[in-house]
Amino acid sequence: MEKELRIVGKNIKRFDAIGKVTGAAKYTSDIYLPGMLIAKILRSPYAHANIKSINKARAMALDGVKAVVTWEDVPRVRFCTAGYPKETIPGLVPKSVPIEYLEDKYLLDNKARYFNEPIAAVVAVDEETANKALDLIDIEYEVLKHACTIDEAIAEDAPEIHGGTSKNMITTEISNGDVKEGFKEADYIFEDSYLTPPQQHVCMERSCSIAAYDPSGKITLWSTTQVPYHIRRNISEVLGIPMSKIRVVKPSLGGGFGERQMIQNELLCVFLAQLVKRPVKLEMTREENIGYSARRHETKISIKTGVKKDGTIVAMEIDVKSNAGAYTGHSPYVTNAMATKNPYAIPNFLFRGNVVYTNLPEAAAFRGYGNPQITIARECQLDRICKELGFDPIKFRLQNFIKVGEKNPVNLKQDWILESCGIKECFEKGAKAIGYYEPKTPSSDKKLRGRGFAVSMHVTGTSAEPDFSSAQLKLNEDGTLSLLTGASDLGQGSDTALSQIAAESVGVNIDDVYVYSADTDFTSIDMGTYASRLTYVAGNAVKQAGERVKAEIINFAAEMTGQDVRNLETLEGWVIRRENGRKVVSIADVAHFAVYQARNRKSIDITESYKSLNCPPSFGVHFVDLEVDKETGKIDILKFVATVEPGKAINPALCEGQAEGAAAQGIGYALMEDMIYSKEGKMLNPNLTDYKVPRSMDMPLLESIIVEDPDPSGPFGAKGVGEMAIAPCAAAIANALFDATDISFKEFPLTKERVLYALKTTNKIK
Amino acid sequence: MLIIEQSKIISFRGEEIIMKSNKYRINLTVNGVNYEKYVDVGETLANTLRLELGLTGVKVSCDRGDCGACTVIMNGKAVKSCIIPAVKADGANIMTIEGLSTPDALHPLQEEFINEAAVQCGYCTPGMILAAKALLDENKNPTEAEVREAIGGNICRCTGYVKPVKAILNAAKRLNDEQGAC
Amino acid sequence: MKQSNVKEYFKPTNLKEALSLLNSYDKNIAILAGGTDLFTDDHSDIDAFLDIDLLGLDYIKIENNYIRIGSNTTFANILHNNEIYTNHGALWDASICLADKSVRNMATIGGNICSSVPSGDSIPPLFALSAIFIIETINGEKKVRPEEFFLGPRKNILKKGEILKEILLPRFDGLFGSAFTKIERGSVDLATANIAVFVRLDNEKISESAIALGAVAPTVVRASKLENALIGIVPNESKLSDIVELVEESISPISDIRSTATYRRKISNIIAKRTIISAYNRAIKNNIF
Repeated sequence: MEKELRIVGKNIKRFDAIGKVTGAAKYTSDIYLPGMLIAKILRSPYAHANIKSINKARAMALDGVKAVVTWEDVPRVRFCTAGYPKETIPGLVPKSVPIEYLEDKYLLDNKARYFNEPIAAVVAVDEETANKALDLIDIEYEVLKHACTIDEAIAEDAPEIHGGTSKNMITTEISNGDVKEGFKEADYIFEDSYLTPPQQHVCMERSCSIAAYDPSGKITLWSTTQVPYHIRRNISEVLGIPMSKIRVVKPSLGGGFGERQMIQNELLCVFLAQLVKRPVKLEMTREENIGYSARRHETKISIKTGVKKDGTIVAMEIDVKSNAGAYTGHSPYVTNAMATKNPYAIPNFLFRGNVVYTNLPEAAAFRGYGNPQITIARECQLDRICKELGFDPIKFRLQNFIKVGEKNPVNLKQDWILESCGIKECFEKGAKAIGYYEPKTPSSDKKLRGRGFAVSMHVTGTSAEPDFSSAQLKLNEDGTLSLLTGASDLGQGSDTALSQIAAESVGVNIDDVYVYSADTDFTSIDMGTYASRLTYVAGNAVKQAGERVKAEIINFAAEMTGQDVRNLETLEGWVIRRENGRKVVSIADVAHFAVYQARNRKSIDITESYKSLNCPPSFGVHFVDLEVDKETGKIDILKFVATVEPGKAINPALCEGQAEGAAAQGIGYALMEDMIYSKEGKMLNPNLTDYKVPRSMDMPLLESIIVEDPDPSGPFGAKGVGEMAIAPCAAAIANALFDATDISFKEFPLTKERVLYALKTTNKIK
Repeated sequence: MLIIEQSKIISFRGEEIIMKSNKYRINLTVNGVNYEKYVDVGETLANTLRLELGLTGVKVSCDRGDCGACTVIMNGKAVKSCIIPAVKADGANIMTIEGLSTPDALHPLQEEFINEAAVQCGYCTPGMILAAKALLDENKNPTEAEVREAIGGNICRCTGYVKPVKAILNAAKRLNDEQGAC
Repeated sequence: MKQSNVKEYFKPTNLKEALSLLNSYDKNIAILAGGTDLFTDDHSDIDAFLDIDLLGLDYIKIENNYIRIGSNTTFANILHNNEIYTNHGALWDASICLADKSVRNMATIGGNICSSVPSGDSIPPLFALSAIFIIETINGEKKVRPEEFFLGPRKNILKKGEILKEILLPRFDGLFGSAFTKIERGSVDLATANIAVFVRLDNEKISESAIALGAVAPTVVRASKLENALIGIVPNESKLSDIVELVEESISPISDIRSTATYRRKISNIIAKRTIISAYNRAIKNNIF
């Protein structure tokens, strides 16, 4: 009989919340070390330029300046900002692309490839002195022709932005079946193109790194990172420091969303601390964080879909051009990941992913990792197909949806089978909550009203190859449990969720679990926080470790009491009789016995590794009910329903939090967030005054619904949720707008101006 | 106000500091404690609270009054300390998040933020809780719209505001119930 | 440090002292009210601040013919004033959507006026409500109308040694009403366009009107052609639709990161129409809501 879950599935209060509501939680930027110096970065005033000469003399002469470094001072070692290990960097790109094209970044270079790219760094006693010194570095540039848009970069006369790639483009094809044959079978073929905008993460804590140098050669780095282990490996490889001499710590972290799934300023900060042999703090301003940091890929997507009269999709061909910025980073992965986010069983499928290099800051990982973009193209086109051919949009989706037992489409090369999918229930509950089939009456004659939805599927863990995590559990002599994990809690609550898994699998009370995470000297290795992987991959490692701890407890309990291990079970801090639940001995007593009295005294201390066997996707449908003002183009979302299917919710309140927060970020992406660049390639709105993100008064009535369909491979059935939840937002809003206006919008964000223009030009209003 | 004249480099707590302007003496009460501090004219209150008083619960995120992470209560009103000159806090009574709870008991707002899982990354949380505290001090029964207005200047990128708004409404109800019981 | 070049700070206790300080200071001295605009960015051209907190300019006085608002009055205090809420609706509407609640606890009406940004939300209502600005100088008081005060983006007629002391708002009699509308990209935004409308009625017809728009020209502008066209009519949707395009003759919008000129132009008509109707509805109800 299945054991009843005591802790998993409950809204356990977050462990870190008390520190955060009292101000006690220390974030990287809250760390002040004695003698700490401040570093600042000089940035390029051109989008594309060679550096001809540098004179640091005036800056060095300024009182309080400790160091000025340029490309001449740093190791000339290339790395890939994505931070992945060498084996993983190539991903799906053709073998013909040499790794040097992908490992393309130097700490500092003699060339600027985007406006405001770091050129030099200054270390000084305080921020004002450092800023002043930046103005005193004399640099002579040779300005080169630049290309900031996809069209400019792939034009015949485009400048070469990225050494080694002709046409500034790397193309990857991923296919299944034969699209040519597929389109022959189709009764109707639809072709559409979409432009999706870039987006900024806007983590509330600005990116910050602090490196402290110890005379023994040990470097401790505190940083706003999602990937402490990737950071450590890159520090080691680029700066030549053995890993044992590098400790990377992630303190409380004010958001991530993918921005911190890359090398930010960590390597530079460590280099500077080593140079001046004092602690160095390198913190971005908000302007640097919005304007010159990584962003979501802007894309041009062409999509061609063949449908039969009965509503079967027989072929789909997609061409994506993504604006990668000047460096490779995550771009091949993000772009090609769009191929594997399709939840429909389409026999003939061809995806062409084009990474286009431009003179902009690199685009990188951002919650959804390509999924919001491809969901816009796919779901908006499918709604157009439904409207033109008269199909019910929900029935049409379900008719074509992949089914449990069929091939899992997240990786077309792996023989993974889909083992869970709660999409039908998502549709039922979401449609009911939004009133999908209710009459659509606008609140005034100046308004149009519509309802719509979009579906998404997202990976749980990296889909390119089997994923990996480890976790350590230590049973203390009083029966309390310490969980040491390399997994980084960004604020989503992984510390709490993993502790719930630990407590449940060991059989202790949640109050007896202590978690310490993301410190490379003290926690076991984890790839990092991305790909919605922690609850599933790290969670499975924790669960395996927990099961072994439990087995040890039962062994010692058997030794203590002379009972047979086969009759013993653990529950809420006790070893109990399996058949009747009678308490035998407390885990506290067993833990004490193991260390102080047992025949073979022993620390119950287990480290387990877990390699994924599968990558079970999570699913969701978001529904939108909206009105649009015919005179101003303003969209008012009346209600937003986010349904998510994360297998099993380890902590439902945290899952809801993911759905709600993702909806807000998705609404911003759809309606108001836009990055505006000048012709020179400079971002014109790098602040929160003019880069608009949703505020409390912008948010509609928002309901999140969790649907469960436990996956056999997940810890207690859990899958990921954080990224799935953002993927359908923009497409759902566009589809509701399509319903209201009969206009299929191809360009985003859906600003008032864009909507009004479309209404006027299509003669929907006078 | 007493002024320390500008000098080139002075030793301050054993660390070298370059003085770039005159220092002005301010007296302020923070979380019930009186302080006398010497500040630069160009310095913000957020800076003084974080660096001089070590109150790092005052977060600085946008540093230009857009996001509200630095919100504190000054003379009974929620204000954004990153756009307030420190010299303006002379004579002021200030509460930061560190002063909201006692060592023995959290404020109902803090408890409800925990109960409702209204905290994710937590970087906006102190400012948002203090904006809510100022609201509840002047309006015991706020509507949801009034709550949303009161935290309209506090950007949160994690929660979508659903759970924070609920937490604030819960706290208002609890505070009223507690007062009613007395 | 936020203000990298500011070295000195003065906090005079009366206007006379303030004026003499302003006149005698030989470098660039800026008047500091709430600080919410000045402390947004580093102003490296400013050498000193003169803080006006002790000058006693934080007041709203209701007199027979005027409301006197001290220039250092915060928008929070303006929003708490019942007379403004009831009879100067346009200013109240503008104040409630200016920045956010926490900023309004510090931001002052004088600061909003003196910053002189074309999108300043409190400025169109001051035009529409026939406000008078009282400027204190070393040679005595000057009274100017808003139309004379603003010269361009962040430019006004204030000279060194002058302080905006007070804003006078006339108290109207008879049937009158005013309203304000703002178009923004999201909540808590700088206006893409904003407008304030004042109307006075005679026999249910508009007998006097004042319309001012912000963010659609280098300064806030009056839409005088449209004002004239309103005289003698009972506004409704269809009548207004015929004449609101007149507003375009008064504006000269530009394209910037917040909007294109085309959208600003289009939206000016719409908000003019809607705000005229709101102001008229308040007037017809004699501002009793």
